[in-house]
Amino acid sequence: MTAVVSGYGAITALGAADDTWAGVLAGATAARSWEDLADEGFPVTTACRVTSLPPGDPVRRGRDLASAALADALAMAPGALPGVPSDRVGVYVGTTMGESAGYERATTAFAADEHNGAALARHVAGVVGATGPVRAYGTACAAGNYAIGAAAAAVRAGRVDVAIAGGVEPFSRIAMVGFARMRAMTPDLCRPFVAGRRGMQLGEGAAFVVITSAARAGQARAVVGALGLASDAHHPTSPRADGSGMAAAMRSALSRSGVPADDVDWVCAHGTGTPQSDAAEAAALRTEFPAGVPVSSIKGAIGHTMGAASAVETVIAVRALEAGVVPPNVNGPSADPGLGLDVVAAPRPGDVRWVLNCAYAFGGLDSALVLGRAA
Amino acid sequence: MSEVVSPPLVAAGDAVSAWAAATLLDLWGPDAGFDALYVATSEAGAGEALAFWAAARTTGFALAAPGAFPYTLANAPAGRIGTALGIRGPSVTLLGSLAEALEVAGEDRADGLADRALVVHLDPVVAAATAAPPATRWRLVDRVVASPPSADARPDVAAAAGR
Repeated sequence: MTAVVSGYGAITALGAADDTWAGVLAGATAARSWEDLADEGFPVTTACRVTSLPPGDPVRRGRDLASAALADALAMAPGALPGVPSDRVGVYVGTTMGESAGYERATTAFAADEHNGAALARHVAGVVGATGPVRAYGTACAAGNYAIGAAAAAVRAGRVDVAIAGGVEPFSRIAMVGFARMRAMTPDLCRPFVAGRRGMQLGEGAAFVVITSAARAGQARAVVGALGLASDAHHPTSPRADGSGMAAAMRSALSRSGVPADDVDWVCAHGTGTPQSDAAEAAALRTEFPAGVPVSSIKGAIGHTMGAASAVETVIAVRALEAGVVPPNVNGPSADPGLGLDVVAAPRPGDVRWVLNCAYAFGGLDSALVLGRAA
Repeated sequence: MSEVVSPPLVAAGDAVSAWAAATLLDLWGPDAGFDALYVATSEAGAGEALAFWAAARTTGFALAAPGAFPYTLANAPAGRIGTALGIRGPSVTLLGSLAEALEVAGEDRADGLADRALVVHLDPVVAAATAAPPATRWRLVDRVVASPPSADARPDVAAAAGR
């Protein structure tokens, strides 16, 4: 059975899915300096925050982001849920911390399950009325891929009829401090794969896809192939310099999908803009794609939305497959030649059939997800 | 980037790893290894996030301790265990129960993602309940070694212990 995306939605610092796609194609960036962060004494004050939603209750920010993205995804697939028993609907959600403000505003009484990823997954299940599997992946910056890959596998195996899958990450002051103090964060713009890149930039957002069998989909937007997972077993924060874990995840995803590397038309890279991670990813790409492959990262446009990142990137990949355009590497048209990559400097129209969406995380997590053009 | 460690987490991860290595040796001999690691947790990272934030507010954000930040992530225990055991396959952290993690491991195995998996439930002894909790003391709640189907008479679920 083939698993397909029948609807998608996203919310990022550039807006909804359409706005984000248009912004990425235009090479726009949502990064700016924030007065409140400067007033509070943050060492870095530049970030990509969502302004298209009202501020709302800070400790429910993730739920609000999820609801916005989910509403768009469901509206695009109006026939997906009606008539499906609730226990045949599964929910798969990835996040890094969940409701970060819940931790930042904790007082004397605190309960993690009110704020963590499981709380976000329960919220999504409540919105769609799902009583099937409800899974929360705490796999940090690769969590979106984990969730969407698991959801597609559940549909293919017939464990669920409809899977709602994605990632959520509200803006996190904890992460703003943590990444800045680790010297992993750029003070100006995130420039993936560019010589002299200075680091990642924090974003916030959410993205969801509705996954069904091809037979159930009203309109299939893209095929979801296999997820490849691997681990570095190396260091709490640094990737293996040879990119071997990343390469193993790419290889697994492609081989389990039956897609030769030569057939991949775009790698939607993790591309955080940190010197180490981009170099390791480049090494992995050189290993798995010795003949070269177009590569770009959207993190220069919307920042690193952590647990939501690869879910947002899945939505962008689906748009690329629909439009037949490989989007550019935002803020990085002149790639570091030492990386040996075909970094896409400007939108590249073409016959886009297969995309490999890559995401990695602290703890040595490596993931890659295959997405294909709908028949 | 400098090495960062969380002594309590290292101790917990190493204890899990020592148990797993010994169990694996008994079950499958010296040449066997794990393909995958599944960690179920409901609290991992919570106490560390609260403590990191409380300390950062005290010192000022510009002086916050960078080494503590990675341990605010729920998958930090999986990272430690996986590194100690040298697991290069899937590392999956689920915010849920051991039963859920076992179910996911089984599904992933059927899907061809992994062959032999170590599945553990790891959580703090005491759940974080205040804005500035004490350092986490980890508890291995349960652990299971899940093997391939029993074609060669290996048990499907080889061992379960804990509490």
